Amino acid sequence: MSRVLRVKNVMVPIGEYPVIREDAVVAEALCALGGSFHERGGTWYGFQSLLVLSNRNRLIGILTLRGLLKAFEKRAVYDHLLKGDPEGLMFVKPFRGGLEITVRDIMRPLRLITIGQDSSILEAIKIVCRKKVNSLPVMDGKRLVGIVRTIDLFWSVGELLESHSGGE
Amino acid sequence: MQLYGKTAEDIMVAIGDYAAITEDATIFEAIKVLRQTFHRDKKAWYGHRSAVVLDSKGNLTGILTLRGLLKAAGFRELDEDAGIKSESWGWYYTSGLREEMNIKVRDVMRPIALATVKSETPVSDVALALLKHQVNSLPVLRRGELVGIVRTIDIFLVMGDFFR
Repeated sequence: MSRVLRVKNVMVPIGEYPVIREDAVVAEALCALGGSFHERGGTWYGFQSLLVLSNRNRLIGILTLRGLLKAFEKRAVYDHLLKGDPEGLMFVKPFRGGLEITVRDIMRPLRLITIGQDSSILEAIKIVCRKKVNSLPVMDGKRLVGIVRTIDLFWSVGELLESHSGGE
Repeated sequence: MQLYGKTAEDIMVAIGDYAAITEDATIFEAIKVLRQTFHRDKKAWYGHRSAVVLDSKGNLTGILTLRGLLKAAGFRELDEDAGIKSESWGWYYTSGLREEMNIKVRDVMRPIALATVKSETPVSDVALALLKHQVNSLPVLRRGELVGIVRTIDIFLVMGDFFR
């Protein structure tokens, strides 16, 4: 038996993903993600990441839940910088705007880790394991067409297992 | 950030809520267990995406995540065989998993000892630990005893308290 399973067959098309602008602040990102991704009665709905749109309306990155954690990291650095300089406190107010953490600071840029839409699922599995990510942008040439996630890959492997064990 | 008093214990999932699997179970069995606890209905997902791993005496020794299970695919180094890669790796992979049965949960789980947080660890420090270890879940210990798992999602749910 031969069955060709390609990334484009199991990915989530980008049209279904929520988007956020690169200059949105963390609170806005939380709000956008909270609106799409939520729990009701032990069941999770929606996606765990946002696509990031540049000021020129191009898709430039993906903001994952783990990316959001980086906001804690950034804030720890900023806090340290401000505390390290005794004069720093004086500048806190005027600089507050400039120190606001934006989506751009914590997103994963698209060019870093991607996969082609015609690649096999095995290839996607290997990238997910090697790069330790759970969401992989899927490209058609230079165009982003979807996201393939660990759960999508796990699911197709599980379905393969069941379809092959069913006949016994 | 001490202003916000939440700790790992306040946001974690209690250990009893997780499915358990033994460390010498096969990958095939593990996938079946996870597909029962964790399943989808159209676009919604139910259940946890990992299972806790027990040794033969019932002690907790690791966490089995989805990515851990997918790692089993890499064991077979299929990419070196162009013919298999192109068409039927799925069949090859799954029949290999079932017939050889030599890949055990132990081989792909994340051992508990590798990275943990304490029950009183502040949420912001849990976030930093998740980033440092490049994982989405960490075991929570209270006086050395495993009491729960804290996940990226749990932090997301309280992040609004920190970033307004």
